[in-house]
Amino acid sequence: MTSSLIQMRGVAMRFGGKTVLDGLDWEVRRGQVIGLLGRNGAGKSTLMECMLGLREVDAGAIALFGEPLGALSDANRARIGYVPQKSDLFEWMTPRQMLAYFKALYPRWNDERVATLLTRWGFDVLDLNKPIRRLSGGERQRLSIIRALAHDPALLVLDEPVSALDPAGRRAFLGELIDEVVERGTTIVFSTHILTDLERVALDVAFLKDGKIVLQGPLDDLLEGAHQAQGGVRTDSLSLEQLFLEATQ
Amino acid sequence: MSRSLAQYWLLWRAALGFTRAFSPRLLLLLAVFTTLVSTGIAAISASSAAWLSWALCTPAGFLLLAWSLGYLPGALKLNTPANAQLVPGLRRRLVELTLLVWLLGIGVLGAGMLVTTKAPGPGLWLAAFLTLGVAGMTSGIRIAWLIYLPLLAGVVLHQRLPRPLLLAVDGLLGSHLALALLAPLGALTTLAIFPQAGKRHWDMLAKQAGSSAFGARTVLDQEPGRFSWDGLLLRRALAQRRPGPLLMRALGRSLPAAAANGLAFAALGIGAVIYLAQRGLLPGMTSYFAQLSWVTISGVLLVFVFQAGMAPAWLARTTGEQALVRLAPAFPAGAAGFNELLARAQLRQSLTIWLMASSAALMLGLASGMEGSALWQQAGVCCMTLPTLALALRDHARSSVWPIFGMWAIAFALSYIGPMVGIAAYAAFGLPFWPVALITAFALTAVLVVKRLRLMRAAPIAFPAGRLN
Repeated sequence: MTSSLIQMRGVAMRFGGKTVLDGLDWEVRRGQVIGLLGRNGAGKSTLMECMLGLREVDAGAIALFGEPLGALSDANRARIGYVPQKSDLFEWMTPRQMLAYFKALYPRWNDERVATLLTRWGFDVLDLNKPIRRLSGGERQRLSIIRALAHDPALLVLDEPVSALDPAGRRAFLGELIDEVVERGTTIVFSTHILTDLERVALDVAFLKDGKIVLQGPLDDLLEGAHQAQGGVRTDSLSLEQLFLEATQ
Repeated sequence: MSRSLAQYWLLWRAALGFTRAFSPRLLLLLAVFTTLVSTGIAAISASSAAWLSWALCTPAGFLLLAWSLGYLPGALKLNTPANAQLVPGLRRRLVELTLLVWLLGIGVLGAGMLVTTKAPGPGLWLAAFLTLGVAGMTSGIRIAWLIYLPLLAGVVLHQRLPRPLLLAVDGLLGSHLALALLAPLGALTTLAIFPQAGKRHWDMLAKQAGSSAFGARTVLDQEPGRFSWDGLLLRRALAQRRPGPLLMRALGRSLPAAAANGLAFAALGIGAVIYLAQRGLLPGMTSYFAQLSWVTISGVLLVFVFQAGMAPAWLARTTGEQALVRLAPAFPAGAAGFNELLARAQLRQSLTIWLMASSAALMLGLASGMEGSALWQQAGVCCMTLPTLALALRDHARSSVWPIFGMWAIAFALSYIGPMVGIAAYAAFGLPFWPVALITAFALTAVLVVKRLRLMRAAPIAFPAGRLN
């Protein structure tokens, strides 16, 4: 059994005439918490969707939990949690109905955790019984995260999960991520544009550019390496923002 | 082209562009085709003036249809509080354009009616109040339903009015009065539906998001009430954990529940009118209903035909939800298994709606005094719509979403194949109409459903729909 939880080999994907993924190779080990970075339109969401089998690839092979994506067992499918970029989903249901709906779709469901998160993230009885359409953007995003965490996933894929959250909401979410999910050994791939959040959570980062992972490694090592490459003379330390600009320009 | 006209044209196109499932080009083609055909038939078969009436009324009807269902929802979206307050002249131009197009449609319709009848009043009032009512309801004006009150009063009191007054309302004087009264009423409505920012504007937007079928992102997107059919069916699906009903829940509210609500309203409305007519409370309408009752009753089947035609559009609206559902282990991972589950669930849903619509039609038939062969023929009419069941089955991953009007046209065409073959067989060989029409409809349904099921089994996994288009 391989220690890689996600394996992507030579993955290519085109939209019309535009190449989005270009023979991409990528591996994510079990328990790794990796931040996926790239400029707008670099293909981060597409990469995540291909990784989960939500989009067909033009070439290449993808395996999750050591199983080819096309033959993923139900047991392993039940171990995946996904927070898409769009959080305005199932708007015709109430949060209570939506959570009950997904509970019916998964063999394992952590009711206690759901209740704790709902309370901690400020959902009262009134919120739980009004249509999701009437929740604010931040509330919908929190709900989306709770849904993805509720079945205790072993792989959590988060596509800009905190974009609609205020600083307090981001802090609460990151706290949850660090305290419970990371401690439990969950593998996490998440994309964000808020680099300070990434620095708080991710031990590793990967940069996507021109359809390929152009740089990947432990965040500290990358920052250190980029620093040394600036001439070897220790002046100011390189920030993640500077590294992002250099890696993706 | 003058600057004003250029701005009107720009706004018209921009507003129509907002409504995804609405194809202006298709509607224009349909309008031209229908106008030519109806005018041609009238010229050959009717009086010398009838062709002019059809040539005016048909395009006016299409214009009012495009105004109500295509332009207006888009124009309301253009008139955001920011645009209304900050873009110079945008709100004024929208108000002018909306009023001008509506007046043009109503005016041409009235002119067309005047060619062949001396009593265009009722038709004109009906068209005017219906379109204004749709405008008010679509925009989220809370008291918009009041616009329908004069119509209701007209239906109930029509034959009870003093004869001179009735003649005046129905006749030329009524038409002139209608145009004189309707222009300011239309202007008031138009000003009300395009507010200029402020609290009322935000309230209207909230109301639109909450209740309007045009504003909502998912069809039939209303609050899931605890005691509603929809809530009940959802709880049942969750308790039973049957994959088919659960899968359909990713596409929005339960369509059979919504159809049941719609049919209940339609049945109540039509039943009440038929009952009142039979009791002599609507004098003059009894004979009208006796002649047209089966046509009126068959209108209930539109609930089924319309939903069958809209199935692809509903799938296109919930691709985000479909992505999450596809990851869930409750459903088959393979394309063939997943698509088969979806196809069967779609068929079951459509059949349920067909059964409800057909039952409602037959019960209304019984209520209106139908018996014997008339009832069997009503059942036959219901069966003619069965081939539209196949419209829901397709390669969802690859197929593009056709405009709703196109899908409805196909649904109607499929429903007419049985009767057309029946007529042709009767005319050519003297074969009885109903057996031939029914056998054709059943055979067509079987062939289409089996063929489309095979197509779905061989297709890529259906969710998220349209991703390979």
